[in-house]
Amino acid sequence: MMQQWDVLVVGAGPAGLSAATAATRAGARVAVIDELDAPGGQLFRQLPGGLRGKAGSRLGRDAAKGRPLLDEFDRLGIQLFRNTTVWGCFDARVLEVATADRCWRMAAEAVVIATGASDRPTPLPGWTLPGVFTLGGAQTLLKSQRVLPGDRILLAGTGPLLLVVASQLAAAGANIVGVVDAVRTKAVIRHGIALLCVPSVLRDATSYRWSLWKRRVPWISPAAILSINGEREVEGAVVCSVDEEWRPIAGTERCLAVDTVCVGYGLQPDIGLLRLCGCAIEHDEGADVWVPHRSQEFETSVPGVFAVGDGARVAGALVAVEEGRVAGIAAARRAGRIDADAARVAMGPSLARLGKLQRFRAAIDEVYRLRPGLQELTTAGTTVCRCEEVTASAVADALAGGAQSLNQVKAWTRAGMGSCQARMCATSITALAAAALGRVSASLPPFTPRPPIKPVPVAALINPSDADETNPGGN
Amino acid sequence: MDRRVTSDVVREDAVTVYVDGAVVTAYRGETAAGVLLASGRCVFRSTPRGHESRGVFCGVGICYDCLVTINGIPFVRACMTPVTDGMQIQTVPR
Repeated sequence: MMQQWDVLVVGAGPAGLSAATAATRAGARVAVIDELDAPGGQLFRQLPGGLRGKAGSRLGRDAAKGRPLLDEFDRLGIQLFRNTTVWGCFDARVLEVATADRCWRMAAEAVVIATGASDRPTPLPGWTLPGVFTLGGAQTLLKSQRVLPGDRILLAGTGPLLLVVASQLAAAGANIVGVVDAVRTKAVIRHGIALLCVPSVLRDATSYRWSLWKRRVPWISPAAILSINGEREVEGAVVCSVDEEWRPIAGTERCLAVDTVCVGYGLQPDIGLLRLCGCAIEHDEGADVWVPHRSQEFETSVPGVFAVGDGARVAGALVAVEEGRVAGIAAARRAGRIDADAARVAMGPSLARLGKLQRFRAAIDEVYRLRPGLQELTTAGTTVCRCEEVTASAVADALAGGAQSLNQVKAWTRAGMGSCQARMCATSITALAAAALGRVSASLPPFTPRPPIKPVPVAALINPSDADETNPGGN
Repeated sequence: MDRRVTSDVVREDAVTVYVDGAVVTAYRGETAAGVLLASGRCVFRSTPRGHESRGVFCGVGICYDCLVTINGIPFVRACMTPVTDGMQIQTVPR
């Protein structure tokens, strides 16, 4: 049996929830699929059942921003398939899904992919040690578990998330040894004028920064973390000043005794499912990532498949929500639930707001644009593929030995073949290959995605089940 | 050691889990990763080739570094698995 829907939405974060509610309001029969136990994604992630927040905390206020959308999602009674992974797509708009113990297929007139983004992994010596977290990982631990990642914490990287996580950790009582930012604070302030067009963001940024200043958290910039050391777990880290290109300034190195390091240099979209669906991609030079081709209504090159939010191009929740709304309405129109004129009227306000947000996005992208010093943090002995334990020098050997493409590097070294399906290594191996081959990243087609794009238990695959009995009980 | 933040959250139901055989108090709503990290355990496993230690990295189910054995089932992501009363969590593989 195959379930048939008007619109399927993959991902229940800001973009996916927005698409699902918009499509439902336009009259479509909608189902949402998400890997987590509750809607919200990472940004609007709420405390799980069993943990009850007290009023008035910083995290409580931040979590409350997701409430209106989550409440509307609940009110509309949209079907949510929780703890469910989309692992394949063999026919257009037919998704292969699985839980821990069963699998089935779901088909739709339109599919909206809103799989979100994660921290861009930055290989540097010691980054595989226990005690090293991505910024997003440390934030999730705090937001959804209310657990601190360690006792003496160093945060490093750049971008809006660095400020947010530092502030949230500090407010929760963490001992932050320092916040190392590759971007000079002055450069951020210079672009402050662009923030003025989005007052809520300016207000948040000021309040986060003030809370750190109030708690005397050392803000070290422009600087970077060079290496992390320790035998079995993190014992310290070496930081240094960097120049405009994020290259270390010799003689400024110093060692800090810390047991925890949280690193994040911006986010990258998770385009695995989009690629499996056959959506054409293009290289975004500024962010140095691959993104899907999209129409003005966020439809990809595959008719009826839409890509929205940070999973298509990282631009934050404000943009994600508007993109989701536009795509949700377009998806409902494709399913014949709303006519073209009504759809145009319904999308109008979101398209107008997206236009306004464009200037803000461009400014943020420019301030936090990745500089060449970042990839030079990777030394020969640094593990680049964490799953298969492949070092940068092994990748370099393959390239020196004649590998001409990323797929050849993968076949020769196993880099990119592990459980994470190259989500942790694709960008850094692309950078290594581009440098070794004297080419630009845009000219190197990325690893070919293969199903399953996420590991699926064999117990689930050998237990195909009917649509009806798979219904997990709704929203 | 307890790295739980208590200032702004109430943990309603205590449960008991076993970490490598040792009794550890956890709370409903916590993940296996949350429980291990809260008690100061950051080394979850060692890698098959280089025997390097690994723990939680991405925290959101993408990197597959936080793999542990749960109730006898190997290669389970600790960060994605809520604890249940009596759960057996095994860290470094046999």
